[in-house]
Amino acid sequence: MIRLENVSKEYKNGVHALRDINLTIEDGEFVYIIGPTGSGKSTLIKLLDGEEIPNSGTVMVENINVGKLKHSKVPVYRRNIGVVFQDFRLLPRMTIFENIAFALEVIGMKKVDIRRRVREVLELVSLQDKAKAFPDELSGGQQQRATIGRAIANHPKVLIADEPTGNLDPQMSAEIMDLLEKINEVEHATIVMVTHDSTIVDRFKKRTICLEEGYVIADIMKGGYLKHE
Amino acid sequence: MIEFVKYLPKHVLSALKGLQRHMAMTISSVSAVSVTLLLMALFFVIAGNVENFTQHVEGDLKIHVAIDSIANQDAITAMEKEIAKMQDVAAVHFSSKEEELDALIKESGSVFQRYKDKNPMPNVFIVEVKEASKIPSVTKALNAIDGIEKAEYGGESIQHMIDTFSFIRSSGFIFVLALSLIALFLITNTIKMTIYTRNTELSIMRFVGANNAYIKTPFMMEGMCIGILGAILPIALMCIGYSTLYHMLNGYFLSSMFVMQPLYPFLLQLSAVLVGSGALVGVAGSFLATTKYLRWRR
Repeated sequence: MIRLENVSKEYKNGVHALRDINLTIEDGEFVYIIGPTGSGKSTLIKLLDGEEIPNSGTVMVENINVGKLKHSKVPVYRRNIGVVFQDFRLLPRMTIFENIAFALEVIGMKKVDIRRRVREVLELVSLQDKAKAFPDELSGGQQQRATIGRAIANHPKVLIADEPTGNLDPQMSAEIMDLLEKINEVEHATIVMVTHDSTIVDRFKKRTICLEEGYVIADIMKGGYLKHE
Repeated sequence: MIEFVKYLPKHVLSALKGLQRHMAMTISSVSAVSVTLLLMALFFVIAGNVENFTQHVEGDLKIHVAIDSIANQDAITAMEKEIAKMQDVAAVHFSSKEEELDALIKESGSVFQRYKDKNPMPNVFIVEVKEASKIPSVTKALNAIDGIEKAEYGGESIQHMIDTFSFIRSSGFIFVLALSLIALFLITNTIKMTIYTRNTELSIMRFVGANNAYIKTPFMMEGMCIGILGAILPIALMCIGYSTLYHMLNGYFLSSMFVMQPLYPFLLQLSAVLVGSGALVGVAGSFLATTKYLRWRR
């Protein structure tokens, strides 16, 4: 469960990124966070993955108070959450298999277990035949699937996707959405997805939280992109 | 700690892989280290030899004490005991006037044979002191003893030389220290650059939950390798250069007073120092660079 209570974040340069945010996201939910540039979406993600600490209020993720975490504990905390980026961030000199295995090596999983889990993940993201390929040999959609595979490899309870379809054409975006829905179902991961893409939000209806200038201006359970009058 | 040992082979591998992948970086940092270590080696050789010269010269420093010719055997024995009891005196040897003449003949030629019948040499004590710096005061004390004609040592010039040597020695070590700091700075900087080129790799590592030690270790191994690789060239140059010089000069520098350090174990010590300081500086440099980079700013 993700719970934000009266969270405010102001950067040192005086920018008020978030103001008095109250949010609860239940286990296994799939949530969109939408809003224009500068509305505080990225800051919200940074608060969730422990990169930033709130000026006031508490950020609870899986009963961990993220803002109060010691610096040395942040890496360990991050093993509970997977992050998917708009620009993929795969290691260019490693194969897809190695890229996914890397996330598991880092946390000290046994070699045999790593191999088994990577195969499982590759199947889940439909990249079995690309295991030995390097990232630049894949299409954007395939690269993003590999990134998602890496993010979910160690069974994170929360998957944060920062504009995962931002660099993809509509058809590939739909593929990625199908995959995320599948992961939401199969892995029971809570998914928080930041997006700009109104077609996706309208087509795959989910709970939608709309940010603007640091405030939550709408939290629509039935989903759909918010139209401004 | 157990985790550290468990991952050590993997870290060593990834360090080697890193060195190979970033070949240009490796070469530039290795050569930076090489140059610094070469300078360090030069000063080490100079300082080491000066140290040796000083010891030799100091070891040769003895006070020559001429005994009054009227002193009889009993008086001489008493005096010898008295001198041996003095605080800064290490040893006293008696040398009779016949022995002194023989030594003179041996040193300066058979011309002095003609003095055999009418020996002009005095009986002497040869006094060794514990520390070179105590020579003037001991000489003064010896001159005050009754029955001693004159006590002498090489004089001011020798004292001056010893002072100069000790100055060269201590400034040499300060210089070596300064050079190590420069090497540290160079390595820190080059490794910082390698880290910046691997920015994505590091940020991914952090996002998938690698702790800092896990990220740092391969970099520190890399630094160590760079330091050791950087030591190879200076060691080779020094070994070849010094042994050539040693054989050319027959082990003496300018005069027989300056005995050079024998090749073994000096070159071995030099190599050990270079490899050790290279590795140490490499590890410290990468530690500083990665620590700075990985410091959490939240």
